[in-house]
Amino acid sequence: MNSLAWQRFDTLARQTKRRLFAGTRRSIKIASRRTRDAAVRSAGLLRKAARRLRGLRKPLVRCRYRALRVHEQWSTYREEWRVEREVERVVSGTAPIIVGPWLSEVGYEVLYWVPFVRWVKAAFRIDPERLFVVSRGGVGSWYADITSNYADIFDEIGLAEFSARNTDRSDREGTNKQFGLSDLDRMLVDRIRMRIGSGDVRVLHPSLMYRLFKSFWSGHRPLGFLDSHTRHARLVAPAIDLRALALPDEYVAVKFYAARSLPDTLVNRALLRKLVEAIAERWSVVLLDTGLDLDDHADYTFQHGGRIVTARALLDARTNLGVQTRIIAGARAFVGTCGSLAWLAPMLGVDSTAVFTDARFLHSHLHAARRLFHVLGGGRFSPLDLSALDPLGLTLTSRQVVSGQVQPLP
Amino acid sequence: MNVLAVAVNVAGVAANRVGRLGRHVVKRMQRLGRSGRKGLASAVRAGRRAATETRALSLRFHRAATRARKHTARFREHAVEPWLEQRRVERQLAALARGREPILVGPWLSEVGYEVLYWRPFLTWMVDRYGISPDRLVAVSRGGVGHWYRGIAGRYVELLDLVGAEEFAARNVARRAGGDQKQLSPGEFDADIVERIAARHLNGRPPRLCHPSLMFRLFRRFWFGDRSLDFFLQHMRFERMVSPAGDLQGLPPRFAAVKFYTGPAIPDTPDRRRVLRELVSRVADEMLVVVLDTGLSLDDHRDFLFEGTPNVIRLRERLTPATNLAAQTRVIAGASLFLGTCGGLAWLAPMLGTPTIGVYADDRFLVPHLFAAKHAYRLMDAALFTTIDLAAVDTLDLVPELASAATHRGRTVQ
Repeated sequence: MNSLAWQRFDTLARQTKRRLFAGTRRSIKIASRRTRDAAVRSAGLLRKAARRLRGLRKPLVRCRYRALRVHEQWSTYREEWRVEREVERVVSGTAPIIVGPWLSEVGYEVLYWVPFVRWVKAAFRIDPERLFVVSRGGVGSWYADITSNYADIFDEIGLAEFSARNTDRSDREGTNKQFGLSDLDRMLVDRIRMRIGSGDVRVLHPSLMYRLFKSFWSGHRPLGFLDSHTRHARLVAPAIDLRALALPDEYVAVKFYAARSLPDTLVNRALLRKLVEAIAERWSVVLLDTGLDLDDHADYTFQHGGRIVTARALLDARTNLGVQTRIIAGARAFVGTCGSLAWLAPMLGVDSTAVFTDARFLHSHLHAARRLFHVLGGGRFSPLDLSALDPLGLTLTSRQVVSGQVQPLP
Repeated sequence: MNVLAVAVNVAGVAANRVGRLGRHVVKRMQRLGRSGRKGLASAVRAGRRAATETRALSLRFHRAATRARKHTARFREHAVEPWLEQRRVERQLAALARGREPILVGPWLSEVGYEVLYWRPFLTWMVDRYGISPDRLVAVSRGGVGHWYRGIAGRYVELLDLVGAEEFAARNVARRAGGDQKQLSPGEFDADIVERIAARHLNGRPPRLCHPSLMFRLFRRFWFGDRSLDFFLQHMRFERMVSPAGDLQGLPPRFAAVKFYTGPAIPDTPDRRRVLRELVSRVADEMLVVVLDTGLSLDDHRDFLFEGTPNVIRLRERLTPATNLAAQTRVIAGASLFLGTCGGLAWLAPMLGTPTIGVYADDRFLVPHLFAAKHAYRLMDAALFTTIDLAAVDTLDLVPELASAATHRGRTVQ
């Protein structure tokens, strides 16, 4: 009986134990499986999250770029609005307005500043008598349709002082462009104010133009923006007597100066010399080298004699640009460094060949000029990349020339 | 007596008084009249002044309104509409990108220049921007230019395999006559091509269409000067092109590829022909010149030929309509120099690494393209691209003058 009871008890105990441990084992098994599944699932989730995050990178980068772009555009617009408000403030009222003083490159003056001033005058209906243009080199004729009030900087200060102070200004500002009002500007404005005899004068400073068009030059604004803030017109040459120069009846005006677009290298010197000689084979050539130390662009000089004459005798600081304008206006064509007077010639109705070897800094100006001169209908504007002639076998870098038989720069 | 005298006196006084009264009345009347006249005159003057001022004010208002209207119209035309058009195009592109259906890019029926300078970089940008798998894209063009779309489209369908060269030329002429050389909207010819491609290559499944009109609509405002360079560069991905495989069919290692054709850039005049012949002769003095003259009438441009010029050969015999552009690309890629009309293949050559000189006589229609190309080539680090204005060469008489002296040159073209 006892053994039977014991047996039963034993069986029950075993069964209980089995049930209990089997449940535990099952639980452990399930738990371990679930843990494993959870790990796999977490790994999957992590992988998915990583994938999602990786996928997010591109839109985020795109968003960042877009935000940067929007910020950039906003800054551009804000600067433009600021300039337009400043222009409005300057032209409001009846006080005389000093336009300038223009101290930087001729090219920017011809291609952007004069048309900008013309636009300001037309857009704000300013009485021409209120405007007093201040520039240098006798360029009153460039502004003739804007106002007859012109004051030359060289009537106020001498060439040496101008050159020194302008160089100092450029060095301080880190650029030749007038992005702000310098000490030289202030001094000139004060002197012109005294000459005008009015206590209250406003200044339409070139920095307004530079700040406004900076966005165009950097590619942020289209050509249409430039069109809507400029008025281009044909120019008339000043009435200057050139008989002292005894210019030939038909001639080509030539002005080459060293610039980033046409750097002063032995090869370029040789090329230009051959180019001038080639032109002189057919026509008389009038060289517009001034010999004046006005800016950092030194003129290339060429041997004159025969059909090549120089206008240097008639060029002084006070009138040099006016005289050059008069000479170009009477020329059959103009050939010169791309920039400066090369932009002026078509406005005078003269065909202009603008020579360069490096167009990197010219793209936006060439873009504007090409379209402008088609619209203006003046002389033809033909850019000539000398580096293109080389592969055609049309360049003349002979050993004789490269070895040093070129005119030294002053 | 006294009574009479009194009566006379009274009558006299009365008469005096009446007279005085009369004079007084007259004077008052006169004064009233004068002041009335003065008042009237001043009223008239005031009226006139008021009328003048009203007129001036209305004129000023009218002018201000006209100015405002013009400003608004200009703003709408130059800023709002381009922006709206951009939004529309970008929405269409986003819609195209959704789904898994094949996308047919093309059919390209217009100029080669636009295809290489704008269409291909635009597609590269689209694929990248909208994350479209190249496997979905089927490029459709002509002349065997499949390799131009390498990396962009998984498949290429040759148009001239679908339609014959004559039919293609005729229907393209009809398309141009009905609108523009540029594909500003999908036309009947496009629809027909799409239908044939769906039937032949896509098992009858209608594909989604990424038509060139999307690109033309997007960049038209850039060409007109209403959109900035920034905008243009944001919608382009410039990449250099890989030279197509294949030999140069016996061409020497150093030769120049030349392709001059008539068009607005070089109008066909005897003077132009003379200058071009002189230019080509100068190059032929230095190396073999291969003229890429197709002899095919696929568009409205006609090739300039330089027959009788020593050291100049023509490629015409080697070209078939269905492969002519592929063969020309191969020759250009192997050339030491490409010289040709500024446009068409001249835009392609720098992308293949070949130094290029684009020649033109009139840059009126080239201004935005020259600007775009200069920036594109800088971004893709392409080979030298430069231009020659025939007017400058002619005006300065550079060709004969310099060419004669060039015989003494100490260096040769690299």
